[in-house]
Amino acid sequence: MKEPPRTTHDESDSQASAGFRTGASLLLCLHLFCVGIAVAANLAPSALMADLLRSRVLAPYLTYFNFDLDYTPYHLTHATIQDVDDRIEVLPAGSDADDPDQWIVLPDTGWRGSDRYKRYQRLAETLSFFAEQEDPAGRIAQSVAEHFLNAEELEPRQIRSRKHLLLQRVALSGSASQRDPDRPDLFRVPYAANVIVAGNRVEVIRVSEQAEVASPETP
Amino acid sequence: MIDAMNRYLATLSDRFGDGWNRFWFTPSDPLPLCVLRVATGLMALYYILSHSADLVRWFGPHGLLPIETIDQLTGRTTDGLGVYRFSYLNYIDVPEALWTVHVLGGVIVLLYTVGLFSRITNILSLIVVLAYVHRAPMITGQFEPVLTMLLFYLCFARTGDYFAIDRFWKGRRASPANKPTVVPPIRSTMATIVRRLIQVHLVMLYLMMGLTKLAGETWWVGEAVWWLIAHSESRLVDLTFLHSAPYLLNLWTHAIVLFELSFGLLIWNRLARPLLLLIAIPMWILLALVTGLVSFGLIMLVANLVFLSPEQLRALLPVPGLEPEPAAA
Repeated sequence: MKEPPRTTHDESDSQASAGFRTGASLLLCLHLFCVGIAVAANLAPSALMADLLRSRVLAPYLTYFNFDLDYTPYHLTHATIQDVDDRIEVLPAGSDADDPDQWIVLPDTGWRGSDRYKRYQRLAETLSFFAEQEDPAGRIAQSVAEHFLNAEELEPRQIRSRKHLLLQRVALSGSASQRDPDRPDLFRVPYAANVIVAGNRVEVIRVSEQAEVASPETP
Repeated sequence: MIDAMNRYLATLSDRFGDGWNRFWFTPSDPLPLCVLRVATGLMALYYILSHSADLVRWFGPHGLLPIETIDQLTGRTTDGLGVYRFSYLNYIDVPEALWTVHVLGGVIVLLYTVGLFSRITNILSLIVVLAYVHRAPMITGQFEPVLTMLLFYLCFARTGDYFAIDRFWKGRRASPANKPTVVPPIRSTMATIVRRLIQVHLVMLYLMMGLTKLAGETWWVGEAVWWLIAHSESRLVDLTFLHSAPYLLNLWTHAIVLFELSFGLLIWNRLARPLLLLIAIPMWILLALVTGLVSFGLIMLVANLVFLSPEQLRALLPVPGLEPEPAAA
């Protein structure tokens, strides 16, 4: 004889005693408060939010478990200079800086929809973001240069980040040259540094020519 | 007057308390969480494997982002204080060791996905994913916070009750003749708490996404989708031919914001819920096409599964041996 279908049943604790509900409710409120602060502070936190997020009480919990969204651009775009595509470009020693084909571009491979590709774009965004701060930008450039020198056995001459500005919608109604998304005037270089190699160590010296510095324009 | 106010406050408190208890503490079937376990596990596995091609390039000796650079960028002091981003990858840069822990991490996530020792592998999977996140946080994006959120909450639930090797082994141990038998899943309060936490957190994310968009003019004037389409190095398909259809671009832009805000507010309504969950599919797919954020779109669709009830999941997943719940008396 076939057994009747067995059904779900409740755990002994599923009646949730008042004590359990009280304790759980307290923890839930605390957790949701922390998460609420972290989520709400994504774009433009108030001084209070920023201090709470950095506090020794909340910071370990929110940072380690990655609840702190930390300026991740969930807004996708506000059409500012920060919301364009970035790339890192490396010029090998002995190459012609005026020949675009001689620059090594990161991302250099992969399907655009892959996280592998996106990680290189984010590295470039980070370099561009820190372009006005010598120490962090120089550190990133130095790391990239050291990588190419020591790991890929390619002596770099210059490292730069390059922003690829966006075509205005009206440009698509213009001539073929205006419609070209790779027009030279659509590229900006917020950071560039010459590389000096001494043995296995590299130093970077920022290129400070005005022509190479990005102007704060919207795309 | 004072009596009336006291009665109002007492009623408010009682009703709020009843509602709170019903919302958080009514025992429920863990089926949605088990489905989430599989889907989240697959996304976590993809995340780990996506590092394989460039593992040593990023994290190896002379990698693109050595620890010293990360320390400077994140503000971590030399004694480790100030930044709470623990990662075992911080201590490994030898290629052989990197690959060993990388493969181990992938195996752990795979075991979690198939539901073997799910409690333990859930916690370990979270640690593994967070290790990659914290090793180089500046190259993470919108995808990782949602993935880690799901992994975190699922740690607190029984996710091995369905679609899991754990369930199969439990059935074998339960039968004296050692023949596999169907072990009934257990409704529990923790399943409800975890499911609600994911739902509330997800709603917060949707609302935040909608509101942060409105902080910029481009979403108000309906031009934002054009600016996404114009990213020639990120987009998956070239939709620039839409430049001649400004109304369509406006409509699409407004629809995204309207959807995100509506999701946050109306997903709790049983009538609106199926519609919002269905609309989410083309919305996230189209966004992935114009932004290239494929994994982000996928993880949002995975997270949306938390709003499907056990009954709806049983209708969608006719797995042999899955016993339906009896009708309520």
